[in-house]
Amino acid sequence: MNPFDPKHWDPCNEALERVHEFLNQRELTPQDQADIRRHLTDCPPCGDRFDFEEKLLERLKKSDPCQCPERLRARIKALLDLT
Amino acid sequence: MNDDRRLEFKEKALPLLDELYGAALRMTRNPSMAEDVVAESFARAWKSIDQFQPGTNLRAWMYRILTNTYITHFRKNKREPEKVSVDAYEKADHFHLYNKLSSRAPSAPDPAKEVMGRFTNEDFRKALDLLPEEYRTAVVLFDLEGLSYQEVASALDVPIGTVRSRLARGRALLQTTLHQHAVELGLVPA
Repeated sequence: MNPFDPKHWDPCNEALERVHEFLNQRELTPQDQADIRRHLTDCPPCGDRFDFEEKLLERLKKSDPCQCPERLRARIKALLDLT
Repeated sequence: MNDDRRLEFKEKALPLLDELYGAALRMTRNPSMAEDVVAESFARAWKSIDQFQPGTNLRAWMYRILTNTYITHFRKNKREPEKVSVDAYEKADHFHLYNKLSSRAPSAPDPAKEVMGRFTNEDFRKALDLLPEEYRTAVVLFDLEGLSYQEVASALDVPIGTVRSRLARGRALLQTTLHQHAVELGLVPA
């Protein structure tokens, strides 16, 4: 990491801005992931925020268990079988 | 060739019905409209099956059709997407809810536990439904359905940068709404 690169002047900001990319395990290079993981162990306030955000996101996903109505399922099956 | 595609479509698209309906429900906030959006999306996908490349990501393709169907055919029937005041964005910060919950007395319970325990599914659904449409759609596709930036960008037909900024604002507004609810529940002082 280049300490003169303005991007790295504030490692907390840098980590917090990428919280969702990190939590979703998407879009980050392995190096970025490792950098963030290291920062989270070094910096408990950031660690707590990530932890909170992770739980919030999981909770949000679980809040939406959706079952497609049977009526719609029948409608789609009819559409796919007719042709 | 098209028979192979149709076979693959039947095998892989039908198991996506529940999640596609769920996404349509969050976009439309209306069960019967959600059914129509999903049915129309399947009809369109089936009709343009020759545009689908077998072996490529069928799920992303379906979400693109679903989003497009919703935006072009169903949203027009309604009023323009709600606008949120600039004020609301400025107040919204990324960790709004966390900051408010953790700034209480040290003896207060762990913020994460409270969010898990005291907020109901309904509370989360309501908070999501309250988001302005363009932010809600981005959050649904990326955070709930797990599409990539590129897939969301192509579903919404906007640049990746726009997806990022809609997600950031959507999540920040979500925390603001949940904070207001935490105030109503008496978890934090107003």
